[in-house]
Amino acid sequence: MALLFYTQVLSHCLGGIASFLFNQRGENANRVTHGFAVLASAAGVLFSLSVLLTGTSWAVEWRGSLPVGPLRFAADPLSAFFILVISSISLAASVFAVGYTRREFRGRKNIALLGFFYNVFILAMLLVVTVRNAFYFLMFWELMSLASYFLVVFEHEKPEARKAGMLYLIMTHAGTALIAAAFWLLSMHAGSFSFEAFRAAAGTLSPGLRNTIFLAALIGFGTKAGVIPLHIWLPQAHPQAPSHISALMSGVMIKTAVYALLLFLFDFLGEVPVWWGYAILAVAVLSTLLGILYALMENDLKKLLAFSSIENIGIILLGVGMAAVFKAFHQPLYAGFSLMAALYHVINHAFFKGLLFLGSGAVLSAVHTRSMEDLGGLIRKMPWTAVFFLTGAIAISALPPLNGFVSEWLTFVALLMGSESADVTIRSFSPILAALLGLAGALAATCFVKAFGITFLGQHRSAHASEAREVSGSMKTGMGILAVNCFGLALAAPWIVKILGRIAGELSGADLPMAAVVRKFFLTSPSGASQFSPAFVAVILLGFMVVSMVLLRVLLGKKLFRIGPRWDCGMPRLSPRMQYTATGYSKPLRRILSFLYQPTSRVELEDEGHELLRTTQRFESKITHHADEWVYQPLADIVAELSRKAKQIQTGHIQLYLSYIFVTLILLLLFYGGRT
Amino acid sequence: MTDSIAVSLTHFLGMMLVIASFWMLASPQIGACIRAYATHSFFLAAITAVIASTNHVEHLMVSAVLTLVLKTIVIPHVFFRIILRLGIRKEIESYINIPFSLLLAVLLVFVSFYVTREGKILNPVSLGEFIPLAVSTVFFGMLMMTTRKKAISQVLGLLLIENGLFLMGVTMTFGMPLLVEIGIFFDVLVAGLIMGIFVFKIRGAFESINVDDMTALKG
Repeated sequence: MALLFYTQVLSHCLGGIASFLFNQRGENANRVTHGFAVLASAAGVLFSLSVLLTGTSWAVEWRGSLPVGPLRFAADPLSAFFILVISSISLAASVFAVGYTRREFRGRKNIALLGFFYNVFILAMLLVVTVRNAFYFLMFWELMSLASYFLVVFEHEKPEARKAGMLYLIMTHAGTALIAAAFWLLSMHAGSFSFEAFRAAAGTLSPGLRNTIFLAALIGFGTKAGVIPLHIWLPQAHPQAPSHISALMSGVMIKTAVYALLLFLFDFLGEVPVWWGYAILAVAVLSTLLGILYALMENDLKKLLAFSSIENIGIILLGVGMAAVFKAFHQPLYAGFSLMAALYHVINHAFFKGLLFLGSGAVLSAVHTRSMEDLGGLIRKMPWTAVFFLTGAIAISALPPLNGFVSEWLTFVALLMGSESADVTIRSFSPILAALLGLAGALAATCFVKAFGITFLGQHRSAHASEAREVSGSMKTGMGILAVNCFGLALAAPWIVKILGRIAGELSGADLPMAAVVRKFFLTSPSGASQFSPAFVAVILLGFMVVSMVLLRVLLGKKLFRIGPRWDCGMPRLSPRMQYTATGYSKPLRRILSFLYQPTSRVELEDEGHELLRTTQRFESKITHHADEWVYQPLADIVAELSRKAKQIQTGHIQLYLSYIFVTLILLLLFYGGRT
Repeated sequence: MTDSIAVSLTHFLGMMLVIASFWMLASPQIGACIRAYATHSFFLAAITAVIASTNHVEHLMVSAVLTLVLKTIVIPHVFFRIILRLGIRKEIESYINIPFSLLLAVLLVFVSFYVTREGKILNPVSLGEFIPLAVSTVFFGMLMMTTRKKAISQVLGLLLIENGLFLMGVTMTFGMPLLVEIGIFFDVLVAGLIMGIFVFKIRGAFESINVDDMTALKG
C-alpha cells in the first residue's frame, strides 16, 4: 500500500522533470509529463481506495534535521478521501491535458515548464492533505499556491492573466499569513508542530485563544476556498489558467481549504462554541446565493464556472456549519450526518466542476473564445463534448439522477434537521437556509440552462463557432471518465454514504450508525423524516423516458421528427445575430434583482453629422460587484496612498539609503550599549 | 620583545591607525584619500604582525603580509589607475564640508567609546581597548559612504569599513582560521575590482560617476 503512495509521489517528480529532456515545446515533452501524471494519479486512486475500503490507516515518518519535529505523512480515511478527490480529477485532467496541450500550446509555449508546474501543483495538494506537521503543512500549502500562481500566469503574454495572477498572489498570501498565524498560535500552545500534539492539547485551550485561532483559520482558509467576500481572486484567476488546470483549481484546490478547516474545527480546537457554526453558515449562505447570482450574469464560460464554484463551496460549508452547530450542542449523530453531506458534496463538486471545466476547455480549444456570445450551435460540431457538458450541467443543477442531487439532498436533510437541534436560533433559521439553498439550486439550473443552451444550441454566433471541430480522443476520454463517474457517484450512493459515514463519524467523535442512514438502496435522514434512493429515481426516470418515447412513436409515428431551422421563433431567415443571447437570457433576473446587481448600461453612438449617417453603435452593460466596490477598492486605495507616502523616503539617493542604515546602526548601538 | 613593550607598541600603532582614518576623512583630494587608505592598511598590517609575533600565532603573520601586499600596494594602485583612466576631477565632492565631517568623526569616536565601554557584549579574548577603535573605523567608513558624492569615494568607504572589521577580528580573536582569512582577502580584492569596473560602467551609463544621477532609476 505504501508502495502506491511512493509511486505516486515519484511519478509526479519524474513527470515534472523528465519532460525537460525532450524538445520543450514538442509533443514528446507533452506525452511524458502528462503520461507520468496519469500514472501518478492512477496510483493515487488505488492507494486512496485501498485505505478507504480496508479502513486501515498508513503513516510514515522522517526525522529531519530541522527543529520543527519529524516530517510525518499519514493517510487516515479523511486524508485518503481527499487523495481520492485529488487523484481522480487529476487522472481525468491529465488524460485530457495530452490532447488539450497539443492543440493549444504545441510549438508555441514551453510545455515542459507547464508540465513541471502541473506536476508540482498536484504533488503539493497531495502532500498538503497527508502531512501531519504544521510547519511542513505551511510549506506545502505555499508550494501549492505558488505552483498554481505560475499556472495562472502561464499565458503571461496576456495582460489579464498577469493581472489575475497578481491579485491571486496577493490574496492567497494574505490568507496564508492568517493560516500561519493560526498554526503558530496552536503550536505555541501545544509546544510542538505535530498535529498529534495539537489534538492532545486541544482540551486546555483558553476560549479567547480558541476563538482567535478559529477566526484566523476561517478567514485564511476561506480566502483559499473563495467564500464571499474573500472570493475576488477566484473568478479572475481560475479562468486564466489552462482549462485542465482550471478544473483542478476549481474542483480540487479549493477543497484543500475545506479539508484544513475540518481539521481545525473537529480535531485541533476541541470544544466548538455555537457561534462558529453561525459564522460558517453565514458565509456559506452568502457564498451560495451571491455566487450563483453572479454566475448567472457572466457571459464568459469559464468565469461563469468559477463563480459557480463559489456557490458550491457555499453548499459544502452549509454542511460543515450545520455540523459545527450540532457538535456545539453535542448531537454527534446529526453532526456526523451533516459532515457526510459536506464531504459528499466535496467529491461530487470535484467531479462535475472538473467535467464542466474540461468541457469548457474543449470548447475553448475548438472555438478559441470564452465569450458565450460568440458560441452557439456547437452540439452539431462537437456532439461528444456537448453530451459530457450536459451531464455536468445536469449534475451541477442538482437534478436527478446525477450525483449533484444526492449531496444537495443530503445537505437539505442536514439543514432541515436543524429543526431538531437543541439550539433555538438554528431551529428557527435552518428552514430559511434550506429554502435559500432551494433557491440557489433553481438559480443554478437557470444558470446552466444558459451555459449549455447558449453555447451548444441555436445557430453559430461567429465564424469560429461554425468552423469548430470535435476534440481529440484523449480530451473525450478525460471528460468521459468524469461524466461516467457523475452517474456512478449517484447510483452507488448507499455504498459511498457508508464510507463517508465512517470518516464523518471519526471526525465528529461518534460513530454514525449506518442503519439510521442507509436502508438497502435508500438513504434516509436520521430522524426518519424523509428517504430517497438515487438508483430508484434513475430507474424511474429512465422508465419514463423509454415509455414516453415508445408512446410518442406509437401515437405520432413518422411525424415524430420534424427538422426545421434552429431557434427561428417561427420567423424565417432569422440571422445568428438576431437570436437569443446570453445577456438577453439573464435580463429578467437582472431586472428583478436590480437592487442587488445595480446594472449600468451605456450606449455609444457615432454618426457623421446626422443620425441617419450612423457609423457605429456600441452597447455596454455591466453589473456591480459590491465586494469589489465596497471593500477591495477602498482597501486598494488606502494601500496605494500609504505606498505613496512611504515613497517619500525613497529618494533614489544611494547616500540617503546608506545613511538610513548608518543612523539605525548608531541608534541601536546607543540603545544597546547605553543600557549596560 | 617584552609584553609591555608589545602592548605599548600596539597602542601606538592603534593611535596611528585612528589618525590615518582622520586623514582619510580630511583629505580634500582623491589621491590623498587613497594614500591615507594605504597608510591605514599599513598600520593595520603592522598591528597584525605585532600581535602575531607576541602571541605566536603564526598564521596571523600570513594575514599581515597579505594585508600589506593587497591593501597597501595592490588596491591603492588599482585605484590610482582608475582615476587616471577616468580622468576625473581630483577634488572630493561632499555634501558636508571637511571641518564639519571631522567634527562628526570626533563625535563618532566618542559614540564608539561610549557604546563599547562595558565590552561585555563582545567578550574579547584580549586587547579589548581596540574594540572602540575598530568600531570607530567602521563608523568612519560609513560616514564616508554617506557624505561623499563620487562612487569611488564610496568604494573607499566600504574598504575602510572592511579594515575596521578586520581589526576587530584580529584583536579580539587572534584571527580566524587561515583559510577563512585568505577567503576574506580574496573577497576584498575581487570586490575592489568589481566595484572598480562598476565605477566605469556607471560612468558609461550616466556620463559621470556622480551617484546623484542614479536617482533617475527610482520608480
